Amino acid sequence: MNSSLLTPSSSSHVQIPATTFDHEDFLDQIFASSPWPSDEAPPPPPPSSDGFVDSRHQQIMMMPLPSHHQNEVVDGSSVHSLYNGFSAGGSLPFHIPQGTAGGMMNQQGQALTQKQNQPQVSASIATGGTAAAPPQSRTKVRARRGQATDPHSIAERLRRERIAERMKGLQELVPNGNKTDKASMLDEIIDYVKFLQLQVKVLSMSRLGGGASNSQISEENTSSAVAGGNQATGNSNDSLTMTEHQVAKLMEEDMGSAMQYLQGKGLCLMPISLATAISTATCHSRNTLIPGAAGGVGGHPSSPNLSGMSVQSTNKVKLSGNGVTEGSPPLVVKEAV
Amino acid sequence: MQPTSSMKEEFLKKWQMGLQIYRPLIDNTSVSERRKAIKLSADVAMASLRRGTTCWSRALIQKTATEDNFLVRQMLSGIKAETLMNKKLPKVMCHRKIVRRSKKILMRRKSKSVSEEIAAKARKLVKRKTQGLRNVVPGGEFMNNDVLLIQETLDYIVSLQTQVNVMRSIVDAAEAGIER
Repeated sequence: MNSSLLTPSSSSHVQIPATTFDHEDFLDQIFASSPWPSDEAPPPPPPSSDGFVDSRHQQIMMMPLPSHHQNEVVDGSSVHSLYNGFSAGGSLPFHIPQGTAGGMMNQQGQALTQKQNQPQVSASIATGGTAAAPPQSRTKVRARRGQATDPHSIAERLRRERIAERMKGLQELVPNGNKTDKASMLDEIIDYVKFLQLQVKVLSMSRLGGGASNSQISEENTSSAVAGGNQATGNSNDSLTMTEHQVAKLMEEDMGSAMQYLQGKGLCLMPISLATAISTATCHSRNTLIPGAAGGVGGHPSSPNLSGMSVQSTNKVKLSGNGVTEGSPPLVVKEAV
Repeated sequence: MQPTSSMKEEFLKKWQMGLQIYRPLIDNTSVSERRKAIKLSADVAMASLRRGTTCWSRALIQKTATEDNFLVRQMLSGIKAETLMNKKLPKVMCHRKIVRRSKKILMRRKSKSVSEEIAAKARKLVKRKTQGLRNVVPGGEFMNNDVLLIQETLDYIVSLQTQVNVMRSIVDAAEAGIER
């Protein structure tokens, strides 16, 4: 199925996927009575502790229930609740595009907004015909009969489930992944991947060495130091390579998360002046690599070990056999602190 | 899932194998050449850990093959190299643009309410972000399926972490050797 994040609502009818964890329940309670039962169901179940996943499931739309389900809010008004389940998990969990056939319940919108703290929710709930009784906020979402068995909505629901699962896994992996918002979560993921790629690049540079290439490396690193570094120290963008640009951009976008990454990795940023002072102090012939300089934004711990991306790496790789240090090809070269 | 030490070992071995291929060239090359050698061999090593099961690994291998075919062939001995390189990457990129254009036309005809517009904007935002993610992950342009994209991203992140850990450990070890 064509799944893009922008899955549009399927038709003018309401497509209302049930919340994923309740769907068996819903199916049990689905009636055949009419495709447009006049009742409206109340908003989604309360958010659980796992805000992220649940929030994604709460894109609900309520499904109209037959009149004899009193726990569901509604009464026998003739308002259809047309909610489209859209954006298959792609969009922010709370927005609810308007169905074309009917109005959305005001109350439902309100109830939903109470539950969700997304601004879009309130905005997105349209006003329409309102049912008499306000929906209870804790009632379950029910799939409409006809839609629940609709292969499209089931497939969509399944797809959303899968996306939610995987996002959950990513959340644990990416630092600072406690965002409930899909867009910001994606942002974090992108930044983290870029950061890792940059690290690889810098680390691969840090292994190169030799006398002749000293100046070249220190140049490259100076520029990267400038780039990655202190905004205050006047980074000149002229000489930046693309990756340095990336780091700079990362820093600009969210200094906090950039620092967090570095902190998590045991890296340190230091002012360029200090770095150059240390490098000249140690030895001229040795190759010192001091990548990011920087404005220690408030109290960033600076590690004494300066070479390369200095690291207190707790999990060293088990070097097998002849050991990496000797056995490694000449590409791996000594760095001096 | 965090990088395990067995993953790291495997990566290290494969990477060393790749670097050995460059060994004769070491002394006569410039820094950027050496960096390229390191990067390429590390990339192929990382991708080969997955043995062609993931989309990003195949795409990465194909990318490095365009830069250094010989290396790739050597590192992925024999059969795997051929199968990986002959795989055609799906050509779905053009479809996306067509779909987008037709959607734009459709959108113009609809009358919008404020909430609808906001919802649409939110969707667009997420869409743009996923596109950004596709740009970063190798082979991402071919993952139209969001589920697949996120899955691949997860796997790619773990592999990158492995790579970074191994490289960092080597740097540490080298430093430790120097200091003595």
